[in-house]
Amino acid sequence: MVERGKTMSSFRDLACTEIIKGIEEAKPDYLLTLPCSTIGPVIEHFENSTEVRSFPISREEDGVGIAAGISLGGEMPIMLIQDTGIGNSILAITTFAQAYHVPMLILVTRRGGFGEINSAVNLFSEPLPQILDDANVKTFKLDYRVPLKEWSTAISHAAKYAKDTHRPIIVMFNIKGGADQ
Amino acid sequence: MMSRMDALKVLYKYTEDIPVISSCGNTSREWASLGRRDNHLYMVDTMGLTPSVAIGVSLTLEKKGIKKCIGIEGDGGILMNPNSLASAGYLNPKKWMIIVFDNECFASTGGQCSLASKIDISKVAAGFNLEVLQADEVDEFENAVKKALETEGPIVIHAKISQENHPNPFINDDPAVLAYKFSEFLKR
Repeated sequence: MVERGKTMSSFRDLACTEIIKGIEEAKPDYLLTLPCSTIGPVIEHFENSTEVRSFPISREEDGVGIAAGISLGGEMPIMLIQDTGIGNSILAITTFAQAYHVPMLILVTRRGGFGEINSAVNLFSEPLPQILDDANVKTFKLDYRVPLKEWSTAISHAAKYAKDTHRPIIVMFNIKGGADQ
Repeated sequence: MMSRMDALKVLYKYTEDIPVISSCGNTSREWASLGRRDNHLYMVDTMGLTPSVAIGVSLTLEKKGIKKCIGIEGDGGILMNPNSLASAGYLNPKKWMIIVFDNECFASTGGQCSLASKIDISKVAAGFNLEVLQADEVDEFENAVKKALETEGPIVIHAKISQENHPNPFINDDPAVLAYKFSEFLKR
């Protein structure tokens, strides 16, 4: 029940809160970001963090390289990008992070699907899960079917799973709500 | 004009305890031929990524006693990922040092002309607010290496080299082993 005078939180707001919680529980040393309009509150939250060193990257491939260097140096990176950024970085993910057994968590916001107004991005976003499966990049998917209260647990467990299995792990989330693509 | 191998022999003298990441192709093969060390990370693929990886490592060195993390890249690689120069200019990683060997060609694939024949990589790096040292001869390169190792701040050595390659065996190791040795060195 919504209190009088207060507006109900959107699915996006609630999802962002859970993503922030998950990142904090994962306790990364660094958060590398390339913005998505849907995920702004998460980036702004960590810009002000004293626990996590957060900085923007100019392109996802460069980000994978920087994150890999951080990981080789013994610290834990998380990268937060749009799913289109996987297209810019899949060679670095496979032939460096995966081949050299370098752990990192890559959090990916979904584009395309219901609610998407861009008339081109669907051509990459829709086939992306299949592309990642074919490339053997382990990906966990969060959307409306997974209760929001489980999202933070999934994110923090995925970070641990990346370290324990010595490889990059992707967690993809659709925070626009609606059906799977 | 110095060859890549001339310059690498100089670098080898000054980097016994300095992490060095070498780009794929002839650079890593010639570097490894001088003698493998655990402080070396040989890239076997992912052309252009070396400067980015060196940024990440150099950030983690800020709390450690190691002076620098050095990345060795070619002109083709640096122009494939100039984003790394943007990140270095923005993040100002104090222990990041990049050596760009510029032979104005893609030497590892047969010497095809690269964009660097018409683009000044020193000016590109300077445009990203990075300090640049230029070296075209062996003694200049040696002085640049010594100076860069003592500089507190990100620094680029732009070295013009000949197109000469020294044939060496491929590095076909399991990349996981290469990374493990390098990571263990960084834990010291």
